[in-house]
Amino acid sequence: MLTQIVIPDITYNLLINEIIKYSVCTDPNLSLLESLKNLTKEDLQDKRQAMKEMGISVGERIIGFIVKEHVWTKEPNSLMRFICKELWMYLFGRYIGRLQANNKGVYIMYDYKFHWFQGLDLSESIDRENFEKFCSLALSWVCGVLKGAFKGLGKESSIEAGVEENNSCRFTITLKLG
Amino acid sequence: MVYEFYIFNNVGNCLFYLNLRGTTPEKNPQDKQKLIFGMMHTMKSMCRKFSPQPISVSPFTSYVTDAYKLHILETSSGLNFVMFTHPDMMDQTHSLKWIYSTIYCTFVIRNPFYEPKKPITSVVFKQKLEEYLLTLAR
Repeated sequence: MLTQIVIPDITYNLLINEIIKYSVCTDPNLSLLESLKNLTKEDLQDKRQAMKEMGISVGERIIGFIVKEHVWTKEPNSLMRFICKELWMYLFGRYIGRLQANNKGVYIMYDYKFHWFQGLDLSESIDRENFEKFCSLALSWVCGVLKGAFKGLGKESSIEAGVEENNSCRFTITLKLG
Repeated sequence: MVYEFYIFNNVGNCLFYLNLRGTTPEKNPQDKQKLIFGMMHTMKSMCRKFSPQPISVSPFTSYVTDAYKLHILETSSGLNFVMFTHPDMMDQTHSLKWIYSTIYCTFVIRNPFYEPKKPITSVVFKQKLEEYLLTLAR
């Protein structure tokens, strides 16, 4: 059993920030904010896809790492509970906050302590749109990890994420049943 | 009652300035900032030299006059947090440490748009700091 370790996620929060900066800032003379302003919709979509693919690769591998200690199960609800507990424990050192299910393969996960975007002012700001672009890139990575984890467990899925007030994030997962 | 708050780095650049007094803003805050940095640097090295045992870190934490009290916290990373308060305030080392570990670390270091050695422009950092400083009534 995995013992309770407190993993500060600051290190790879900062690393993900650098990956995003590397991907977005093609011109070294422009700051991150300006590079984000200059991104077209297609560019943003491409970069989100790239981050997602990075995440998928990580998710597939990490699930191989986790299941060596746990029993394989095919029932979707217990699969989701497994993800909420074990995967989040490996990634962030804690359990996810809340899981909602509608019994048709759509699940919503809420993480109330998602501290990655604490430094950004998402409430009212002129640069709010650009901050949101940045958040969507970081969340694409996490969505990719989730997608890769499901892939590793044999399930097709589609995942969307949104950031809410007070450092909480919502992940909407649609599992293909059967 | 906190009057003003400054953050300097070890080279002398003022990274942040907050005025809580509500008086009219100064025309040339840069001059005052340079004065504060120079004075702070001198006080720190003087205190270190007068110390009875040889020490490497300056023991200077605050001085008090009739009009104000100056508190300072120097971190190992070369940041100096300087606070001007009412002369009757107690030692504020613990609250400066809290500001560093909680407010600065969260809203500056986690902010991907912050560039080191440049002035801090984050609006949320200023808000949270102001909220906290207004609670330091004693």
